[in-house]
Amino acid sequence: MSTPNRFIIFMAILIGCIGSLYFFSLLFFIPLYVTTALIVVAAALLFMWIIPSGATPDNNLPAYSNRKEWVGIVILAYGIIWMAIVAPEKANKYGEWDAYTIWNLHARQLADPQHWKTIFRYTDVHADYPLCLPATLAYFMRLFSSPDSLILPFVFHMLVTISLPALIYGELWRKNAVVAAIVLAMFPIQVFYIFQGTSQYADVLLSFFFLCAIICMNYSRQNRKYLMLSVLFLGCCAWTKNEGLLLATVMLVVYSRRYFAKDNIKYTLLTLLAPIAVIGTFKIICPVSNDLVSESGTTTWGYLLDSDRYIMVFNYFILTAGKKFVYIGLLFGIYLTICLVRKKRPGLEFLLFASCLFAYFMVYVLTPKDLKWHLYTSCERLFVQLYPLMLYAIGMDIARMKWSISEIVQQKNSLQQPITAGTKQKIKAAAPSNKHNRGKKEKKR
Amino acid sequence: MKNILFITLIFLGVVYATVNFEEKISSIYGLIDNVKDGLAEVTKNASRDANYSFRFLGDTTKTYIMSTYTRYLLAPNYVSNNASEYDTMLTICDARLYATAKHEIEDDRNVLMKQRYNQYYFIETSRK
Repeated sequence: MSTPNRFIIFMAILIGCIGSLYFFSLLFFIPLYVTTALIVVAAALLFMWIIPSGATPDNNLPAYSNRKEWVGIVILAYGIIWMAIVAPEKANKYGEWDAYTIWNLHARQLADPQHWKTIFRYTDVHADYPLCLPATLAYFMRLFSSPDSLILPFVFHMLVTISLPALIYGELWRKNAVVAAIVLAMFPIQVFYIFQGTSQYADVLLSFFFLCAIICMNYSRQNRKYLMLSVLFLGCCAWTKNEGLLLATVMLVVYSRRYFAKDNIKYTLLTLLAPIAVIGTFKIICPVSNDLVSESGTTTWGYLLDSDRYIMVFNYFILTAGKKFVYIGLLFGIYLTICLVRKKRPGLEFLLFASCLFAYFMVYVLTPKDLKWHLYTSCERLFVQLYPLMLYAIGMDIARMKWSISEIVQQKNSLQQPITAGTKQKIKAAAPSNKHNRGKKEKKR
Repeated sequence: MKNILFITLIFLGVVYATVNFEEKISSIYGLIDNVKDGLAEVTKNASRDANYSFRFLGDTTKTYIMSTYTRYLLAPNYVSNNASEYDTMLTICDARLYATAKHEIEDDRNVLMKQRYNQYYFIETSRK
């Protein structure tokens, strides 16, 4: 992983850490200065853990020329300036509806250490929502003594909104500069993403954590700390929104062969204890249960056989994608065409995206709420949660493909070449030397 | 050096957006600001534990709540319209409509504030 991306990963995990520590400080009446000291210590430890590079696949990638590196910086600067110009135009003074009535309200309530439990008084304003975002905001509100600030939530959300595309860009740049630039441009072009970012909702933060989990997972084979970070980020997802729990579960299933591999299972389960402790404590003290869960009963399972619901959800998904995510639709079409022409199967990241989309689809089919209302009020935001993942999945798949003509021809020849008697002899000749090498390695061990 | 520049660019982007956002919001003064300022006197004297709600006179569809401990105004639709759920419920009347809406206000209710911002009356309507 590149150094800037390790900084972004550090920042992301620090957000989850601040939210958790502040929540515990409220619970155990810990003064603000002690909480701050704990956060500083945690930040220092995380910094020392995450920032040192170690062996990662990026170290093996060929370095670009100095000129090309500067071009990369200029493209990033262009993308960031674009987003920084559009964002304030789109932003509402108080944030959008749910920010005003849920997220920022919760933050302001949590900023009051004496009366913070009043957060659970208003069941209508989703008192069951996890506290990662409000607790982090509340900590900074207390730190800067400005519970009424309209700027603090904006700064926080802007940081996340800009860091997310930068993280994807940093990941793709070394693999394929053109793909990285196109994917970066997809964020400011798709104004709806920026609107959601500045709306001060938790959806972009959730997609940020989810993306961090996936990127860390891609490096888990090189260094086990990335596996642990990936698990922690899944915990952050669940600590940010209730949907995060669903996304984390889907990811644990899709990547189960890595999370629960013989060598990794111990680390996965041990790391899972941290988010379970935080979220479990919150669920115990929170007297309100999730409305979707509490309202569902045996009748909702009957919806599984109702074909009209499937059609309605499918149509709404298509409608939303066509209305709000036009450009990604085009990119998706190009990607599928490339996959068909090159006879390439989509990567694991894309499988994860498809699984998450399917999971959301089924949640809508089974929702106890009025389906039309539920789709109308939340479908767009769920798409925003998966939008970065989709771009990353497509970008990674295209970047992994070989693009120079000589490489394509070489790959095609190697696929089409029949195994001749000569080739068989070559393989046989190579076999003993492999065995010899293996023996040498074992001796070394 | 380029690594530092990468991170610096992100922070510069945030700073630039924030400066523009601050300029934008300082020029906007909407309904929420109006009501919040109007309620300043109430919140100053109210108990931090009090649970307030208020609504606009004549408009029963929208109920707002305002929790004094957060000094924060909460908005409609999510909020119950049942006065008994709150310690105090306030009804707000547009000063310009007061004459026509007067018959809706019962005599025993107290007017807390009159035309503070030339827009609203704050009237105590119920108490648990």
